[in-house]
Amino acid sequence: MIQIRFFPNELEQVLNGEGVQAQLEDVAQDVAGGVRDDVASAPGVHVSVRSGKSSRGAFAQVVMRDEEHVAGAMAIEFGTRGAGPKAPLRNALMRRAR
Amino acid sequence: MDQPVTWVDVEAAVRSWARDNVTTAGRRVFFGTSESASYPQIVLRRVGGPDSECLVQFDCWGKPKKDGGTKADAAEVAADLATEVDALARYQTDDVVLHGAVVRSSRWFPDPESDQPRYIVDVAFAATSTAPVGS
Repeated sequence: MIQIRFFPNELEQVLNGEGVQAQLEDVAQDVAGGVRDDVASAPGVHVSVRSGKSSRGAFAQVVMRDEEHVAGAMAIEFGTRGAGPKAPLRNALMRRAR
Repeated sequence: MDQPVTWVDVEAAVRSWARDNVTTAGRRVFFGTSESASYPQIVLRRVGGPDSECLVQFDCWGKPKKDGGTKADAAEVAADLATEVDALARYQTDDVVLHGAVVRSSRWFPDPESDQPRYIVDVAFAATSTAPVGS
């Protein structure tokens, strides 16, 4: 016999309960670590993690930021006309996914 | 015991495929921007992943703005490329078989140095060697 039980608000608890933000932040820190390794030689590019709770639930973000007037992060990730992409963020995400 | 995998030159096969199929680029598909070729051009580079899920970044370049280049020029090439990716069922060269591909993203991102129109299309390809396993 198969019995299916439905618990109201259980999904809500999974998405927004205690500990979810911390888990998301752990994942983001893992990804950020991989990105930092790849951009270690790039001056002016800073990698950080921010997390919190929004109206749509808990979130965590990996933020790549350039120093003012230094267009580094986007150029490193996606490349320019003269230089190919290093893609540190995409590579860190792929490593994490495997 | 699993047989070792033969890794292949996915970029060469993808360049060949793109030259044969993305007609809006007029076979102007390269591994680096060509100063002698006209626009639009496609530049492709492998950015990560194993052969079975190889992520390739395509830069779809329109003409420079000083030459009258527009966002629409680059968009047309990106759309043509993405459509052909969706249609890819099997493509084979002497050494490589492309079994399929999926568009991961397409984004507007002009060159940060010159503002030249560019769409970046990320595509994941599944590729294997044409050689039989264990050979």
